[in-house]
Amino acid sequence: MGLRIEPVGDVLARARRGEQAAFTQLVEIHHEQMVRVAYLVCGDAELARDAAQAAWIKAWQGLPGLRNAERLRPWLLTIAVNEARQISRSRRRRPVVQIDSVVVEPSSAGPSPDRVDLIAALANLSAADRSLLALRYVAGIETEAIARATGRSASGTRTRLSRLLAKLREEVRDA
Amino acid sequence: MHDTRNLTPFERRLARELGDHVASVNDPRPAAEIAATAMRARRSPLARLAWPGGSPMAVPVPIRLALVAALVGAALYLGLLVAGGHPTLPVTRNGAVAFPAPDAATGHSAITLVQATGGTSTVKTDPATDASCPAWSPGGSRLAWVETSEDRTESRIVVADGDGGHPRTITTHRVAESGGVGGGAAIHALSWSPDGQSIAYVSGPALWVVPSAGGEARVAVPVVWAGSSAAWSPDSRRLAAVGVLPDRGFGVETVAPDGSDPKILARVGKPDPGGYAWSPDGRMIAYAYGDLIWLVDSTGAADPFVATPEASTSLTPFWSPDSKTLAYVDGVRNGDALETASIWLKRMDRPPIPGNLFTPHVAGIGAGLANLTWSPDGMWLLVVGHKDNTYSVVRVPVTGGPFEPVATFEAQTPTAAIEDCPVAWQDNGIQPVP
Repeated sequence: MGLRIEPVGDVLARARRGEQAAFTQLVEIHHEQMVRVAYLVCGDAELARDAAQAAWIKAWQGLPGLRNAERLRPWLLTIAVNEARQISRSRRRRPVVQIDSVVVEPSSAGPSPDRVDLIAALANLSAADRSLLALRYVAGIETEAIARATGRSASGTRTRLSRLLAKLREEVRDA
Repeated sequence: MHDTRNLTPFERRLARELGDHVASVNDPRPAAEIAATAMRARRSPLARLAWPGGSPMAVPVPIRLALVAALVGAALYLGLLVAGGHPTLPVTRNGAVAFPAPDAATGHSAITLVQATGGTSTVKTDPATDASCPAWSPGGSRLAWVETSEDRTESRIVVADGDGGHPRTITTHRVAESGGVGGGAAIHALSWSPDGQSIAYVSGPALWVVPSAGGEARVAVPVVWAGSSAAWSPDSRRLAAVGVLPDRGFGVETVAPDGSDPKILARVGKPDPGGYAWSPDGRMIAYAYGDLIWLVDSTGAADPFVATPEASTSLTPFWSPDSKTLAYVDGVRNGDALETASIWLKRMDRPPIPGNLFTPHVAGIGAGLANLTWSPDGMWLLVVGHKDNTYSVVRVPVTGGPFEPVATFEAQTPTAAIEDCPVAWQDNGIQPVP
């Protein structure tokens, strides 16, 4: 009980001191979303889990350098998408995103054609673009926070996101 | 579900559908197992040396202080050794190499110097900031770099002596001043004017110019392509950039350093253009666009033409110091990453005959080949590559043969300092004997 009641800053401070229980709490809180953003980047659930695990290794090593609890979530999720990109690169004998294997849950009305188009359009994006989409629209991280976590300028990130949206909109319209 | 109130309808739809798409993906393992696996993972030798207990906070204070003192002492010793202990004079004009690398003592990036004689040292930078983008003045007598606060709301350019001594801040940008819509203070892409009087740089959406001795920074191009860096004409009177035009297209343009007299040399549309470089002899501007490298006369007297018709995917071009050779990275694109990336050299003073292209050997250093740096004598190219979190700075002989390692270091993910700025190579001014 109470895993999410303790202020994240306190949990982070304890994790930075090397407390395994606190680090486990961070995993409890963030792992699921890390797997999901990683999945959007690499398109493979198994690889996404590997990426998230690899991200925790780096997070454990990098926690001492993180002083601001507000940055924890963007930081962790950025590591996860970066790991997903690296794993995608290293195992790129097959397409990065297995769009053909996208499972659209059956429903009485069937899948929305628009939705299939939008998800299929991901295949035409780079892993970096999918990372940006994952951080912004799956994790809901503000553009400024993404820029901070990725070490890039906010305006550049905003511009890139805007072009990316325009491209997606165009592709969905053309489909 | 995150707050979607500020999103456009299309963004809300995107958030909803992407959320649905990933919703079923999870990891059945308990959190304790995931955490324990992470904590057990073998760490890099450098990290183990710095933080033997797993986390620096877990190491008793006296031991930490002793470790830090030992590391600082070693750095100082190396610095003294290089600076005064063994005054071995370099025998070519290729001086020291500078690049940003993580500093275990501060947790931030610092500027590392690798001397031509092989010694290494760390430039004294503000330990509370990330130092990046080192750039030597022409002649190598001064070194500039960027220091950016941890929250990235403040970024400044520091100019020091060639060895990093006597640093002084020449300009500071804060979020509100950067000209961005609500952010983007981080300065990057420093470029000294050939006369050493000015430094051009990018902050927010704009290309700026500031006197290298300090003074008022002025906007040269209000909105530039996100990946821009300045390219100076040899007489320091013009700057080239890829700017965003009033119709929102892109244009390769030149402009006076104070922003006056803009001249559009080439209009480019989609896809976005890439990097560009002004030839040291001032005649041509090379730029990447549509997976090819184009050349345009710097006066705008002739139409642009393709310089690399044989290329499949070409990134930013880099001119050799004598303006005779273009170096660029080419490979098979997969998204925005290159597979089978290679460095290519193309002589621009010879007809396009077989043998004009030359591929130096660069295999085995992993990804990250986008930025190249010519040595001042034009005989080497510096390349940064990485495999996982191990970064390697290597120099590649342009005459062929295997590359030589310059430095290797570990960097935590995410790290942008080394990837966003090219490595700098000091020109020590020694001219070859005729």
